Amino acid sequence: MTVTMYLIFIWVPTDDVLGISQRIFYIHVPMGILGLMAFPIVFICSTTYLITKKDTMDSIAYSAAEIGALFLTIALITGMLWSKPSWGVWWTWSPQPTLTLVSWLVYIAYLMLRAYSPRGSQGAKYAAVLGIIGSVNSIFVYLAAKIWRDVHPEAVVGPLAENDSLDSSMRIGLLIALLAFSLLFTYLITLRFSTRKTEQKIERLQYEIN
Amino acid sequence: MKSTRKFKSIYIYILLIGISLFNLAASHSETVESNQYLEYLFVAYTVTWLGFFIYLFFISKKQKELKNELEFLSKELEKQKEK
Repeated sequence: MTVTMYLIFIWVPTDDVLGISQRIFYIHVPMGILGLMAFPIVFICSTTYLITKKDTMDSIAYSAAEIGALFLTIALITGMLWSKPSWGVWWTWSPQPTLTLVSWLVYIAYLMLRAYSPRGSQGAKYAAVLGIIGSVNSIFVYLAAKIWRDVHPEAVVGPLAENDSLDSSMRIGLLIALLAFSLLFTYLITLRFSTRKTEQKIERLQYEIN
Repeated sequence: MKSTRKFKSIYIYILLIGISLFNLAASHSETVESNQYLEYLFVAYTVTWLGFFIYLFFISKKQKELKNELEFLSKELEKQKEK
């Protein structure tokens, strides 16, 4: 992370057009990508949970949704903070930010469903279904900038990215930032998963006592 | 207790790195115009790290509470078995 911060603040060149505010890009893009990357985890684990009924799968899906919501919240806030100096507005109803907002709302709905459903109820099942349906939207978020060309820049990483869309040093800076935040993302999911396991252990003990 | 101390040292470490790098970045920028939107950059990075710190703080607090509850329940269960 220290190396990433050094690269972002010192090593990468300042953008000629957008100036110093362009450095927001190095957190905004990894946060957005990782926030959406949680959806395939939710999708796979929720599907497996519905088939096998294994609590571990449900716990991984829950942890991924929570961390995904955190990353996507930061992506949306940093996006607004970058939008203001670049486009002069805090928010634009461009397809990509709008669909990202929809994904964020799916995460919030998922977490609220889990928080407000009583123990041992159908909450986990309904949340799994919501997670599976919500995951489809994440594909459209990635495709949005390509399908509906707008003010929002096109994808800079992944199969849809154009090779010359980014300066080489900026690309290196972005990839290292992506790697560092991916490690943080994995660590946070593992941390949340272990907490969730302890919660389930307590629930079992409470059931045994009563 | 040990984990809370560990988290505290991580917070301080990241905070110090952040502040020093931010100062370096501000002095490193070549022109006055490029520094025009420095406040947005500052707020964006502050929000990001604050978000992670707050989340880690709540998780570590929750873990501590769960650990205490687990110990209490284990003792309760032992008492029940003894009876």
